[in-house]
Amino acid sequence: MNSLNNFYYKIKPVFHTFIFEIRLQMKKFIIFPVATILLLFLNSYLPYILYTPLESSQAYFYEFGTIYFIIIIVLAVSIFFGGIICSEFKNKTGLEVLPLINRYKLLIGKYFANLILVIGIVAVHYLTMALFGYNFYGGPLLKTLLYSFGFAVLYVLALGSIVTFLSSIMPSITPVIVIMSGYVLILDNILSFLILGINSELEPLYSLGYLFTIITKIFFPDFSTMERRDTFTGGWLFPSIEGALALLSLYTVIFFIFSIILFKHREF
Amino acid sequence: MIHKKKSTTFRLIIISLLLIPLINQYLIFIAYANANYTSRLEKGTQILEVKKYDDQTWKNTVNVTSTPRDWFGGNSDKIGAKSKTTLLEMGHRDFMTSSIFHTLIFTNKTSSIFPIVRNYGYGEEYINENYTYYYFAWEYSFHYWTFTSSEFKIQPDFFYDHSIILQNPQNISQILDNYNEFASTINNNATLQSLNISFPLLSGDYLVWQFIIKRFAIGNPINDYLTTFTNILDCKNTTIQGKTLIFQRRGIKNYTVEVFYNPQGIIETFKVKNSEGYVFYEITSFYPKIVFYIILGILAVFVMGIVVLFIIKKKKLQKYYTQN
Repeated sequence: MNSLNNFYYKIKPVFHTFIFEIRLQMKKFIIFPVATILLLFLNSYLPYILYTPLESSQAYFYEFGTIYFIIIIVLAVSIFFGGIICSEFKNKTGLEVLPLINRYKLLIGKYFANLILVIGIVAVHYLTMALFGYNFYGGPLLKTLLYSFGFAVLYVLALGSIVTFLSSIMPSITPVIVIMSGYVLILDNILSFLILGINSELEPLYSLGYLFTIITKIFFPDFSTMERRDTFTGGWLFPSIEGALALLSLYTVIFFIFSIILFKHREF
Repeated sequence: MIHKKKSTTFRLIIISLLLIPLINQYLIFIAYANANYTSRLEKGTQILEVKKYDDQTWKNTVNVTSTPRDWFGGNSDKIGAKSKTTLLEMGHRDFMTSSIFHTLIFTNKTSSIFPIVRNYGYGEEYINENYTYYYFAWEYSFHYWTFTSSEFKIQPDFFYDHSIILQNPQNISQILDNYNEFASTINNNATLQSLNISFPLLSGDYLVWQFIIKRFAIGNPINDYLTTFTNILDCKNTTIQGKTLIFQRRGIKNYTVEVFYNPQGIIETFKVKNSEGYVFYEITSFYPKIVFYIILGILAVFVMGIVVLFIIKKKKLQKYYTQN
């Protein structure tokens, strides 16, 4: 009973930080689901109602609806996770005379609060997409929606860790957003193109853009038997489940550990 | 005098220009569409469900050996069995007679033996050369899942199937006449006779029945379209009441088939009644988009509620601060 009480008192500041962070980010949080729904409405509902023929299957419909979601994910992760550490240094909260909470509890509380918010945005995207899919194709909805959602959450975890790492070395949130968005949406493609030019046999598992393709391709029920390389160009189309799981988990763990180490040694 | 001469020359030129299409055998006539009719088909899914089936009455009224499977296939003789149609794409263009025969007229048996007939010179080319009309129609592509008692498979039973709606229902009479003439030619061919190949001669009533069973869509306004369609075919067994087509049939006993069309022009309900008015087979329809609109409505009310609550709370706070 005593140890349970101790655990409660230890976890209480984390919980308070979690609630505080969620309240702090609420306005940003409202904007993102609205943007997600709007993007999906313009991309996956309106064109089909007006002129575009319906995709031949639910899987193609979801794939097309998720291609552009990488923009929302990258921006959301950058904006929500970008300020986790650097904002503390910018506001010099560590110089308070009476520190109310230690560094690690603060980091964990903020990290999980932002993680929940971004997962919420991802969930809104999938729920809206499932609703649009049901509207056009009826039931049953594809079970692969859940697999894709699972990988999207894992992708958020990986990006979240990278952004938290960047946040631990950057002075403010703006460069974190610029670097992260610029890398994933532009530089990553150029880098992959250059590396594939040198060695086309090498699977670009290092590429965050390439890892994202599993989220769009796993919608297909025959994913496990689908050809992973382009028959004409020989280029890699999407990673295997094992490969994506391993790399995304590795990104999540390694960058989170780096963030903790840097956060520990950074001076206010 | 000169003016009169010029006027006559001008008239002759106009008449000769108008005569060109008539003397040119390669110019094909287009059966122009009646602009009064429109297609209101929408992309999306319709689910049909067998709501009622009284096997005993069916066997006593329709046929001892038959079941609804003979009409709709799959598990359409099981209560609760469902069929799904997802409309993917719509368009409109002119169709040659052979395409119309394939899509609207040929029975399943005719379609299956048509490749043999084609080999003996009675293929699409023959049809289009002898019946040189084009018909304006709306075409639509769809996936179709046959009636099943279990959950729908991911892959449809018929992938990218397609059908058409004649924009002018009056054209169906000419199409049927052309088909029957074509069928007679086939049936009179000695070689095909020796192969025991024949095409059935179709009546207007049979064609309307085939339209029902194959669940073809129709144009709008529904009542006018159905009335014109059945009148021009000189149907003896059909009557139209509003958006309902009532078809009198005779099995072991007399029975009626009532088909109700929705505003899109597709079958909404299908009922088979005996002479006492007892419904012994019924199919109803359901549209997933209705659920979609209900959920949207609930969400809209929820969001509105939150906004209203927020405004009330803000006003109360403002009032509190102004009072204190």
